[in-house]
Amino acid sequence: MQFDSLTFLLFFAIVLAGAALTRGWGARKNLLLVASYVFYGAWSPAFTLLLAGASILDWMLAQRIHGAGSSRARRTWLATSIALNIGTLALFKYGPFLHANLAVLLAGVGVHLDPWSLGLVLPVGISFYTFQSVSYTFDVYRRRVAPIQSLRDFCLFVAFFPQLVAGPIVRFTTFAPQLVAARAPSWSGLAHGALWMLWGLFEKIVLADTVFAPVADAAWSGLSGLSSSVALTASLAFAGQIFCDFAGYSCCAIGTARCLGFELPLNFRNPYAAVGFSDFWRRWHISLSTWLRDYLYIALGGNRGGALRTYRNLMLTMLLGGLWHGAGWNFVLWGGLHGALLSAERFWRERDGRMLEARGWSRPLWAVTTLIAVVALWIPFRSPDFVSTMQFLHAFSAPWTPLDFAAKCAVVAFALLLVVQWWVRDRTLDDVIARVPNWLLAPALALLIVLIVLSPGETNAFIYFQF
Amino acid sequence: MLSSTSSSEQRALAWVWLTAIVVAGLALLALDRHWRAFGMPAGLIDSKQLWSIQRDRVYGDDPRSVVFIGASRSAYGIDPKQWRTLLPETKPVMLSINGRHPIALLRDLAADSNFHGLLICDVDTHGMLRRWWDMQQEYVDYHRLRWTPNWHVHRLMLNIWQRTSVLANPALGWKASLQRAFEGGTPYIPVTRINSSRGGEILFDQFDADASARAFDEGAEQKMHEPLPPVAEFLADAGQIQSWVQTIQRRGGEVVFFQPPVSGRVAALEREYFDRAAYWDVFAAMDGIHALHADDVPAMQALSLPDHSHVRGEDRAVLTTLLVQALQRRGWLGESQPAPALR
Repeated sequence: MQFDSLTFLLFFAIVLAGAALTRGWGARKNLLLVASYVFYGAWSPAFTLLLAGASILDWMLAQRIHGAGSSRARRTWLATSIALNIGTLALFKYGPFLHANLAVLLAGVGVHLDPWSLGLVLPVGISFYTFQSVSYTFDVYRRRVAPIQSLRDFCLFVAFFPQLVAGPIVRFTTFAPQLVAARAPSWSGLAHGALWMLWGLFEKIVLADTVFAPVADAAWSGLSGLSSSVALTASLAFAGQIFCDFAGYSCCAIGTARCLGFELPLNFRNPYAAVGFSDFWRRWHISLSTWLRDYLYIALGGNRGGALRTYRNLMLTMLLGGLWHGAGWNFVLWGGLHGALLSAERFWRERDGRMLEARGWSRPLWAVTTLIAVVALWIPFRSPDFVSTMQFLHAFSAPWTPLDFAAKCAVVAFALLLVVQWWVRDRTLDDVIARVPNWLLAPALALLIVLIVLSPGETNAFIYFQF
Repeated sequence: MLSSTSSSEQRALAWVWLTAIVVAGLALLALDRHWRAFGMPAGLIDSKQLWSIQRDRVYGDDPRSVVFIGASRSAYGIDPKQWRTLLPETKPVMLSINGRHPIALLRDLAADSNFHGLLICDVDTHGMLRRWWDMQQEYVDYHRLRWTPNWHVHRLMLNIWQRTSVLANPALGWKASLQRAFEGGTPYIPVTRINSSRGGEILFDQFDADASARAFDEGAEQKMHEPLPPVAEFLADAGQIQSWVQTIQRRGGEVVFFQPPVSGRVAALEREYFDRAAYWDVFAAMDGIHALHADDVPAMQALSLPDHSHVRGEDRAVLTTLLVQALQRRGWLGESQPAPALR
């Protein structure tokens, strides 16, 4: 189910009413668990079995890890959990990619491999809930948390519908306390949650789908005759689209959870106002970047072990982070280039001993450099392969042509997006709402509602669902 | 923290929401009235989702499904309701798509092992050329990869919204309106009407049908300048189409190719450019192929086509009845009851 579908509106009204009317915390959790599986099953009922299976397995394995008598046994159970989770992810998400690359390698030594014939469909949200589940078993292994006794509660942690298919990737330490203390929909939660949902829907429907997506899609579907002006506009449009699409989803997730009495972590903090690449990753998809830091970068050794190891770990983390986004070399390239930029920034900072972004004169320059690099790196991310990436980049040397209305609209919207992100750079939506007087907030909300209603098009899938 | 929100703040926020909803509602209502006064009707808008709902209906034996595939001539020419009246033991399913030739869908239904109904494929010789085979693939892919129960329910609810408000029309969206404000122009008023089962008609009284006829004639002239494939190449491709037909027949299904009536230069395209004897008739004579040409049904030829390509709304029932009768005469509808004669 998608937040921007009418089905969700109906579903959420029923769930909200059910949660408000249900007496008893246990019964309410049962309702939320069933609702979460209905939400997920609306895509493909069969994949609810995979979700349930993965949840039950990790719940059991965490108990084994906790109860194991030796470090070796603990490591074995943890390895089993990781192997099963990553193995499932690899089969569904990376199977054809790995197979195709293996076929190329084997062809080099004269061995023919038959084409991938399993024809598996990628279960929506598998990358998100797998990471969430793995973080739990990791935390139990590291003795940061005790394993949860209630299977129902663990299944709800994994499947809680607001964050199930596209995050934020919630840590068990964040969610577990919310499963203990009873919570229910309240007027205050509803009013604030609805604000987040409305803003998220505005970002998704009005900005991502109506303003940015048509411009980016048109450019990438007609690469051969692209002019430099259209290529530049399309780059900005995709940068706008992917932010508004994903941040919009996260806002809806936070808002939906809040309506039900839950709190989810912030996933975006005005990333296009970043000054430097490490600052960008502290603002973009925060729940993933902190996950990668805590469970991959640190597990690889982090910055212990000397400069070279630190750079190696940084590069590996970003390469795998790129691959997390999709089974393709373009995603690896995207992650690798971000890793290289992060490494270069770290190298510069350590050599210079001062924070680049702290210097008065270089701060705007560094911010612009960051923005240009981030926007440019979306090109291989959006392109289906290297050839398309090169074709797109080649268009920047083509003649400049006049922009049509849709392109001009996208440029203006992106410029406004930048202004807003710089304006509220370190504030959350809650901070902004708290500062806006009510006489201004009411017409602003009315305007958002009107714009959402007046953006009727084919509803597009959220981009991050495919990851 | 939310829990620390005071009751006065809660009340204030409740008033904010109430005001916002009322203001937005009034603004939208005013806009809706404005566009209705302009002549914009509220009605269903065809989409991949509306199509996919019908695509899900192609299965089943009781009643047996009769699936119409093709482009605008069947989308706006065949009346599923009339078909059902004439043959109540069947379930008509309209899958024709305006502006797109149907071979991709024929291929898809051949590959669908659960489909074994009767397929009526509106296509002319031009539409059978390999270069047009993938025109409906986008719809096929959507149904195969993105169509879910979620979107089914969404589309059913969207039907209600589209019937209720003219603002559901993308031509009246904020972006289209902003573009008109800068560049001038008025919104396009729909000249077709479609219902939830995708039975549609063209509203010829709402536009200049003569201009439309000239446009179709010019389009036909342009097609005549395209390089014509050699007959042997055409027949090789037709052989592929035949194999899909035979796949459906092996499962107990049937396929009938139907070339609806046309007039003016559009008809000349078929008669002069694609020599019927060399193309259509040879295809029709292939093993297992049932093909009906409107030229062979005088009553169909007598129908008036305001734009040289489509029948009037009120003639859809006539064309549908003539089609049923013609198919029955040829024994291509199995054991169905004979359709009553036209009054």
